[in-house]
Amino acid sequence: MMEKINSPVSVIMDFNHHQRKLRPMQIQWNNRDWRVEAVGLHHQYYSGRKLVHIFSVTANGMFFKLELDTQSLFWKLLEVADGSV
Amino acid sequence: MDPSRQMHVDINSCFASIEQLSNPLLQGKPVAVVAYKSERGVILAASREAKKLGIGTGTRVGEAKKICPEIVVLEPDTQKYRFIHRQLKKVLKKYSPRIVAKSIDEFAINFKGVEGNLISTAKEIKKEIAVEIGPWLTVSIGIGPNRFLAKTASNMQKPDGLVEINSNNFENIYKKLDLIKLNGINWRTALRLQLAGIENTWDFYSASRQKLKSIFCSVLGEYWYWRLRGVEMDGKKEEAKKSYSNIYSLKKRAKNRVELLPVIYQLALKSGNKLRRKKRMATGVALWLLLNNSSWHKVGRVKSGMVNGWEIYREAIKLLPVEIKGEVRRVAIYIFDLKPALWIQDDLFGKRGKFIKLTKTADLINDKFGAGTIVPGTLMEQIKIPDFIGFGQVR
Repeated sequence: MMEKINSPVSVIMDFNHHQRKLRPMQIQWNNRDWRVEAVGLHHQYYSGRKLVHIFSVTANGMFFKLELDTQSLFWKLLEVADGSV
Repeated sequence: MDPSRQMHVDINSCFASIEQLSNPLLQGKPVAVVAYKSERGVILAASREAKKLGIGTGTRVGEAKKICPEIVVLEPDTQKYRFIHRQLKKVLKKYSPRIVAKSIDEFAINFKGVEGNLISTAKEIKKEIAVEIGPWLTVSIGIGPNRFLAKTASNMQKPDGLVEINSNNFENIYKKLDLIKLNGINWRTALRLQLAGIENTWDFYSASRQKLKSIFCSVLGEYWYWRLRGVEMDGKKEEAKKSYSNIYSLKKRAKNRVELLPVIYQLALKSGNKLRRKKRMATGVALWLLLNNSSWHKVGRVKSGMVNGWEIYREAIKLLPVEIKGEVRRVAIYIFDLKPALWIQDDLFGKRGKFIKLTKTADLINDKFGAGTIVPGTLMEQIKIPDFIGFGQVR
């Protein structure tokens, strides 16, 4: 089941300058810490001239779609799903 | 037959595979990407797992759920698909500079003048896609002497296929290939060919130019004659395009003019953006509505060419009837009589020049802050229609 959330969220992120890669490591949502296990896809797009990064990640059997606004540097949790219907 | 130097790359189950790539929890499960989640919504892309169950593009959500109640139904995420499209293009560009995006999930690549064996190049491309984009995303690659045969080859083995049609194997392939499997031959044309004694692709190939011309009653017969012999007939230049069209299926059927305006606006903007990109103008516009049991259309012409979406919108709504008899399911805008926008004809009082200047500024603001930042005043209260991806050629 997928649920649209669309609300601010706390995220711990890691940037590896050797690999030039960044990825969310931990999400704090619903009074719980979710350790990110895999990043399925990291894509970005422009909303006008604002670059938005989207991270599709899994943590503890759940799917999270996170948005990083590069103008405000704020994170938003867009969707949560458990992989079922 | 010329040497096989054309390649066609097709992402397997594109939208559904991208959803599975981004959400690993969906990998191995039947997934469907639909236009709308309602029971009557149509499936745009089904995952391999869903296809194995007989669920494919065009199946309705209700039917799919009857076949497989566990199917995961998702609405399209257009930004994600466009991103993968760009990533794939980046990968392909390393192998040949001559790439044409045929649609969001298909690319035609011309390798004329590029050294190397195309079968090994195709294998390398597959490996690189797995590394750069993700191993879940697979492509079927076809190789042929022209674009048409390369596409035909790409359709022959799915998923993750690699097929070449060349002068050594085309006879065997044609003898086994049904007419309906050829891109551009629908069941009606296949029936017409069968009535003329052409049962399969080999018969089609063996038919004379005169016979094909008489079956098709046009020059199309001759095109088919050469196409099946590996001659390039499909690489027409963009300049040759005479019209652009944009079509949209409504989630909720529209009953009146007011409900249609935002849809027409969005379609007009899409058409206008294309004109802007191609530096062209159009002097004809047609509006088409698909109602419950019938369709309606009206054509309009303007003396001075339309150069942007705002002008197209203004002309298109003039065509819209005051009263709509029935419920509208689908809307389309066609713009035609395209010419290079070398100069813009102003009117006697300079009103048009001012309007174009104004809309140009509005377009710039929309480009900077996102589509829909500035909309015509009449649409202020209207809901926005979602972004959508057409199935036509991407340019």
